Amino acid sequence: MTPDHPVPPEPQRLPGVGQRLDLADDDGRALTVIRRKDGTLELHHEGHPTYIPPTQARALGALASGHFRMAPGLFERVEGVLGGIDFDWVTVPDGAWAAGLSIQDLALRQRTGVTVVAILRGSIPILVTDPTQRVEVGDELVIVSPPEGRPALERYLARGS
Amino acid sequence: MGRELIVLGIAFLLSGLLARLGARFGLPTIPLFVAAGILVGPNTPGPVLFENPHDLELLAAFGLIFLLFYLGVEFSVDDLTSGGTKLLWSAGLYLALNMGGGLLLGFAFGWGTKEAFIVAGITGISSSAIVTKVLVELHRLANPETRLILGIIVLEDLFLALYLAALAPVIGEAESASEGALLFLRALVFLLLLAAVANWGAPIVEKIITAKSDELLVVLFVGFALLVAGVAYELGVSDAIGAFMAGLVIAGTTLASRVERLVRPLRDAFAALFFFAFGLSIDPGDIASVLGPAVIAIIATLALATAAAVGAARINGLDRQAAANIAFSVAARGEFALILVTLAAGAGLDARLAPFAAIYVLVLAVISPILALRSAAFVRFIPKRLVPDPEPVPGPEPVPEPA
Repeated sequence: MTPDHPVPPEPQRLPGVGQRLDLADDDGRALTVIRRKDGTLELHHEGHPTYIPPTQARALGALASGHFRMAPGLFERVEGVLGGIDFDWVTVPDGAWAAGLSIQDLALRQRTGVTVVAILRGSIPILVTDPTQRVEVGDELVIVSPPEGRPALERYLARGS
Repeated sequence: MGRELIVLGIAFLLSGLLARLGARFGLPTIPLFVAAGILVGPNTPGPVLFENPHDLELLAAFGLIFLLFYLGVEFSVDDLTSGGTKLLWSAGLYLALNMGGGLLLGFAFGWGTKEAFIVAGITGISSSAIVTKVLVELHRLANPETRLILGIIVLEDLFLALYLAALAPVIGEAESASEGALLFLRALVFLLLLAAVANWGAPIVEKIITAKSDELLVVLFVGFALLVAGVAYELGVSDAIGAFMAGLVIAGTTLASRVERLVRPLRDAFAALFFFAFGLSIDPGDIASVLGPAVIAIIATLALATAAAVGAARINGLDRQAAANIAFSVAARGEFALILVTLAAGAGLDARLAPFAAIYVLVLAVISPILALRSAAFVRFIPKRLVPDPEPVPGPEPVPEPA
C-alpha cells in the first residue's frame, strides 16, 4: 500500500461534459474518474473504461464517503418529498471566522436560514441537539436549507457576514 | 389551429425518428433534423408539410434562443483561465486559421463583403454539440487531449458570441457608414450594460427570477431569456447574442445549476425545430450552384483543422495520435454555422449562403465523427518532424532487489 495523499485531489471542470478527477492507484498508475452531467460515472484505468449508471454511482459515492448508509431509491424519494429543500454538507474552511464559536453564538438559522442537523468531525458524527456545540475547522456541517442557503452559509462561516 | 398542431407534431416526430435511425449508424442529430426539414419542405417532391418556412419562424427562434441561453448559463470563466496561455494559443491558432481561411474563401466566391464575413463564421466555429457527443461516444473523455479540445470549443463559443455581436450591426440594414457606426455604438452600449449586469447585478436578477419550485423557476427564467433576446433584436444586436448574455447573467447567480438542468429539455425540443425549419428553407435545386464552393470549403476546413491541431499538439506537448483526434473532432460543424446563416437570411444577404451552409454542415457533421473514430489511420500522415513523440515520462525509481 502506498500512503494516501495528504491533500485530497480537486476535480477539474470538463466544460459541457462534467467533471474529471485524477487519482492514482496503489502502484501509482493513473486512475481517471469522470462524472458526466447526467450523473454517469466513468472510470478509466490502464486504457479500460468502465461505466457506472447514475443511481449506482450515487450509491458508490455514499459508500466511499463513509458517512452514509444508502437505502435503495433514497435520493429519488428525498427529492420527491422535499422539493425546494436541500440536504447538503459544508466544510468549515481553514481560517474560518466561525471556528471555535457555538451554533448558538453564530445564530446560523437567523443569519443564513440554514439549519445544521449534524457535524461530522473526522469519523465521529455529532447530532446537533445542543446549541452550545462549537464548530471547528475541518468540520463537515450537515445542513438542511433552502436552495440558495449554501452560499450564504459558506460566506458567513468564512467571513462572519 | 388543428392543422398547425398536426403538422408540428409530424415535424417533431419525423425529426426524432430520422435522428433515432441515424443514431444507430453513429450519426449526430443535427444533420438529420435538417434532412427531415428538406424532405417535407416545399422544394422536394412528395408531401409538403409547410408551404412557407416562415410559419415556423417564432418557434424556430425559440430554438436559437435556448441554444445560446444554455451556452451562456454553462459558461464559466474558470474554463478559460484553467487552460492557461497554452489553451489561448491553441484556440487562437485554430480560430485564426479557420476564420482567416474562411474569409479568404468568402471573398474568392465573390458573393460580397458581408457574405464573406458570414462564410468566415460558418467555417470558423466548431459544433459544440457534435464535438462533445463524439468525445463521449468514442470513450475519449479521459484522453490527454480532451481537456484541450473542450477548452478550444469553449473559447470558440465565446468568440462566436463576440462575433455575432460585432456582425449583427455590420450586416444590418444601415443605409450609410455613419448610420452603421451609430447602430454599432448602440449595440455596444447594450452589450456593455448586460456585461455590467452579469458582473455586478446578478444578485438583483436572482431576486427577480428566483423560486423555490422548479415550475416557477422555469416560467421566470424563460421570461427573462425571451425578454433580453427580444430587446437585443429590437436594438439590432440579434436575439442570439441577447440570449447568450441573459444566460451569462444567470451563470453568475446561485440558480445556475438548476437553470442549466431545467433549460436542457426546452433547448432540445426547440433546437430540433430550428434545424428542421432551416431544412425547410433549403431547395435541393439550388445545391448545384453552390456545390463547388461547398466542396472547396469542406476540404479547406479539414486541412486547416488538421494544421491547427498539429500546432495545438506541439504547443501542449501531445503526440501525433492526439493531434489526429483533435483535428477530426473539432472539424465538426453544426448549430453555429446554421445560426449565422439564419442571421444572414434575416438581413437579406445572398441567398446562396443557405444551400452552401446546408451542404457544408451536412457533410462535415456526418464525416467528422466517422474520421474521428478512425483517426488512428491518419496518424502516419502527420510528419514526426512536426509533432515529435513526447519524452517518456520518467516512472518511479526501480526498487533495488534485496541482495
